[in-house]
Amino acid sequence: MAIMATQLTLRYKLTTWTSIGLFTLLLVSLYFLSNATENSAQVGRFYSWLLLFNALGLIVLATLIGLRVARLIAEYRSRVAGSRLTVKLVLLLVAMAAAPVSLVYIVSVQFLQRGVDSWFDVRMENALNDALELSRVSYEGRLRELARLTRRMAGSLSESDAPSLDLVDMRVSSSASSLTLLDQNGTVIASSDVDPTAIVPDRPPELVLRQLRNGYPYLEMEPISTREFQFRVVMPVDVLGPTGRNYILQALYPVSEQFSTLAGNVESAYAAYNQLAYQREELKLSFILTLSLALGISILIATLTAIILARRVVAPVRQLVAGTEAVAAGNYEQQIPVSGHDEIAYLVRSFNAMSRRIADARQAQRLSHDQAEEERAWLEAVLATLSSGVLTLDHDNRIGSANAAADQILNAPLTQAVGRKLQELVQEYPHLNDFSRVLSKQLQTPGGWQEQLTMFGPRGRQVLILKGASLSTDLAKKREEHVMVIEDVTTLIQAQRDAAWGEVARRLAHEIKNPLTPIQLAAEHLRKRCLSRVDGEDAEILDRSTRTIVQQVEAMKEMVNAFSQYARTPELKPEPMDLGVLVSEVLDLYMESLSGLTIDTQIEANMPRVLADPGRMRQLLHNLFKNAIEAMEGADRRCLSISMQYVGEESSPAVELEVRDSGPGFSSGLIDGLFEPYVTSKPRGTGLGLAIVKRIVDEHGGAIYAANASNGGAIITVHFLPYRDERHESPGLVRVS
Amino acid sequence: MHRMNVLRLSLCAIVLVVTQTAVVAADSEFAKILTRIREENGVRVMDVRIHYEFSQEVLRALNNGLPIILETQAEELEPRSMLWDKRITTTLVRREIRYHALSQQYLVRNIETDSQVNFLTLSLAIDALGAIDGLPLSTGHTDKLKRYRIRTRLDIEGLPSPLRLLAYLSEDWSLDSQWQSWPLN
Repeated sequence: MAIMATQLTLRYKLTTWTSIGLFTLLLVSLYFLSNATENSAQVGRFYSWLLLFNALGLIVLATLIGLRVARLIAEYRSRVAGSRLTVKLVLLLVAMAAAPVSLVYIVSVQFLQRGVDSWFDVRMENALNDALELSRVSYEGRLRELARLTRRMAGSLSESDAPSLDLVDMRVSSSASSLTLLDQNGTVIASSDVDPTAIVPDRPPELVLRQLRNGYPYLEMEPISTREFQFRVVMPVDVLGPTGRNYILQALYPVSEQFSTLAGNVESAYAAYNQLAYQREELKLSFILTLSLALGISILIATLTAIILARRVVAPVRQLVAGTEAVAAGNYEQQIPVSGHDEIAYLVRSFNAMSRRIADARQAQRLSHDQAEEERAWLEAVLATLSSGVLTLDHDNRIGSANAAADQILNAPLTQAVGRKLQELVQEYPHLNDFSRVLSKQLQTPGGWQEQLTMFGPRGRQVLILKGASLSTDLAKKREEHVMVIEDVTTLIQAQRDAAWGEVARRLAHEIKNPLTPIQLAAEHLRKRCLSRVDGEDAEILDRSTRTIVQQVEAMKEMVNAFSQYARTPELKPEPMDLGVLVSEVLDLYMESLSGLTIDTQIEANMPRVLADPGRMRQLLHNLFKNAIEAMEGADRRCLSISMQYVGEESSPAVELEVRDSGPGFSSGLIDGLFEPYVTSKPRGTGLGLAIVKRIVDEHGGAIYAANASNGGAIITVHFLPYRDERHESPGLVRVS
Repeated sequence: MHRMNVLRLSLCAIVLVVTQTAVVAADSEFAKILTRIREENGVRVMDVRIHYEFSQEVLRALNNGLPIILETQAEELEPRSMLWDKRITTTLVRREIRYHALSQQYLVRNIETDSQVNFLTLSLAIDALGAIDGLPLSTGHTDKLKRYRIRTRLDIEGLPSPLRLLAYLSEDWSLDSQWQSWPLN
């Protein structure tokens, strides 16, 4: 862009200097043309070339200026910045120059025409004619004298015996410069010349000879050069020559120097006047042409000067406009070159300072913005990696921001609901009702706050700890934003409980199991020794008591074994396995052994495998199915629904196993501690079935949820991670009933 | 007047044809050119007779004292294939005719030699203006075919400055016979 501008400037300067050079040449040429018009001897012969050069120069100059004018008009039509002002200035300057020049031209043309006409005056013409006539009368008188003299000499020759010899004497006595005797054919008979070197005498022209042959003498004054004349007198001589015809005598007489000069002057003046008179109109035309060329050059000079001056004056304004447009378009680096010290230069300097400051401020703002963006990105990265949910709400309870952990903990897409009110989300996700209620209450509280919330969501019961604080953003308008941190401590509490229960189970197994065997052995030994020694009612009592002791000890052993099983953590032997196949195998056992039970199985085909210990998984399935079947005892319709499918997004894929029964469902008091040991609704249950299931799920890194179905019955949902990157390829359902 | 000129030209042509065999003529509106080749002291020379037919405007200018310059150019050429003709000889004759009001004579001046001849009548002066004798030709005979050409024209640049522009633009002043050529044996 800069190179193109430089080239344009160079071309512009070149054209300008070319035009100025051409102007100078034309002016010089015009000066010479003016002289040549007056037929000056020095430059008159170059008149045509000067005229041609001037005309061509004028055409070239007009073309160059025409191109500039055309460019100016194009800029004006395109509304280029500064073009209107330039056009106005050019028109003004051209008008100012053209008006006086045109006036001078018109006056000059009129003056010229009158001046040229005044050269030609009737009196002068008459005077010249008279002068010419007077000169003729003068030399004709002399000619008549010379004719008489020559006739006398011709007469003397006719009487002479040797005319050739008398010729010399006659020339000397008559002051003739040359006497020549010729025959009528023009052949020289004899000659005498004042110039002894003249060998060949000057013969009269053929026309003169013809005139003499007809008997008429010839008398004329002949011009030899511009201011030199001679008299030629040719007379017949009555001497019979060898041919039988008369001779002819030619006498050349010199004209006096004074007469020659005067006659030459008269002739020159007369000729010059006649020439001028003849060229009168052409002369006017030439002068008018020269004047017109001068006028054309003057107007062209004025136009070019006007364009150059206008462009020079408007250039800073044009640059200022371009700079303003650039700044308006966002280019704050725009700087305009400053030239001169006038008001426009001051304006340009002010503009440069302004744009520089704007550029600096913009740079600072950009840096600040970049820094804020970096900090925001850093904060977002930190928030994204936090396991605690972070949520901000504005004064209108609209979600300002949320991290992924908040989505996960609250089971709602808060990150995608930025700008929406929390109440709107509650309508879509009813489990957030308690959460919203707590927030509504706490947001009224100034300063920070903390509260524990137990919430029931799609993943069951959750214990959340909420910590919040208000962020004042606009104190004047009393607008506050609130930030809160949400921590899901369900797993933590559960882990603490599991650990406590594990300790209890271990202690039970250790402290209770050991004395049971001696108790049982002691009761059996007592029965064996004493039952045969007593009879009657004592024997019956002994028998019943020892049997009860043994039975209760057995029951206690079973219970202790169950606790022991819960407490122990055997080493896992995980391997990739198809959970669907295992589910089918385990279900087969129940389908064969139980009657009146409907089992509905939906297992998606091509399910990814899971990495799990087959023995532990088999125990998990047994516990789940057994728990469900036992829950349906006494129910009118016994239906066990098992489904398996691939769920979750790309980021958190899972193999889901859902076990649904048609029993009464979990009671509200039970569902909180459903997976804790010794929690059961069955009269003879140990309450360890689902606790063991939970432990196995935890061992495999899975998740388990319990919920009541809307149409009755309980739902246990288990999620396992799929094995490595095995993906769900072509979903399809295999139904087994 | 015209008939007289034609007669004069015819007579002149007859005279030339009688004396020499190599006489050729060419016409244009402005000038009728007659040439004759002869040997002079063993050298081939060419005599030219041109009869000029001046326009009324030129005659008017002449009678008003304006000198009229006529320029006659004769060239001997050797044609060449693929190239322009080779010029062997070139001769330029410039003559001026003017009216001398005081003596009422027409002066014909050879500009190169500055020699002058005076004539009582215009027709004689014009005849003398077109009489050019002894134009040199190349010596020796070659097998190559040659040709010569002649052109005569009014020298506008010899006119006074104010008249020149008009003369260039006016047909009255555009007196040019153009090149007229003949084969040369």
